[in-house]
Amino acid sequence: MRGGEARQGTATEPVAHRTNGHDGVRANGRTWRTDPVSRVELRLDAAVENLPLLRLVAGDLAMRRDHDIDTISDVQMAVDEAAAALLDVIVGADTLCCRFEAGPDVVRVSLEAWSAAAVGPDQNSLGWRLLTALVDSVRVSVTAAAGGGHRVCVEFARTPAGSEAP
Amino acid sequence: MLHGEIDHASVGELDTHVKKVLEAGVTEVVVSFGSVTFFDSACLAALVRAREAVVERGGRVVLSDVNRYALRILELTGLDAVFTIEGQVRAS
Repeated sequence: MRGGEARQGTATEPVAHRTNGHDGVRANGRTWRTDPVSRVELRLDAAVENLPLLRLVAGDLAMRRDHDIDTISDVQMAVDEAAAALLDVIVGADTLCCRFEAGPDVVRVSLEAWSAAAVGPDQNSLGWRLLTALVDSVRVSVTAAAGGGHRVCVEFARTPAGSEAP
Repeated sequence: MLHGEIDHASVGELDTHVKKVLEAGVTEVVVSFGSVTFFDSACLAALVRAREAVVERGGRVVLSDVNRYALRILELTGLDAVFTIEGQVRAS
């Protein structure tokens, strides 16, 4: 635990602390997060050229939480397929918003983009079949966006092999 | 032999290469996965397109050097029953 290390100055005893909704330990004048969930949010150009970047982030987060190699590979492929399916249907969007949450028991990914069309991903495609086979749950939402247009969102959760679905 | 990552962004190169192979009159196409580090449904769809074109000419497409994870993906999509898979399945 980083908070338990002695640093320059006066060391203080770690004290359990909660800030900004996350668990942490207060020591040496600051709060060190001990939350077992890693969170990353990315906003990037809505282009298939960015799929490798999404795979990289998803794989790295799952690896840091010690998920098995199949789970890591499945999460990478799932984020690739979910993003590709979303990019295939959004109209007039230039930004893709991606949120990743990786804990010891589950990896959750949310991909969202604005679209002029109220259309969700094609759920009969090969890619969608693959996505739904790789993860525990997939949710699609198409909602009206403030200022016009729509927000198209794809979310999925993947638990490690052999564990209960969330 | 396929190399590196074949995804929605790069699959055009695979389509182009398959087209050249078909134009050369090749009917026995062996696709090695030995150097593939990632592939997605775009790659699989390209291989299905290639297979359809080759079979139409009386040939076949064979997948070789498939690793354990790639085989799992082929099984999940049912494509293990569509393609001829040859050679030993690699551990990783």
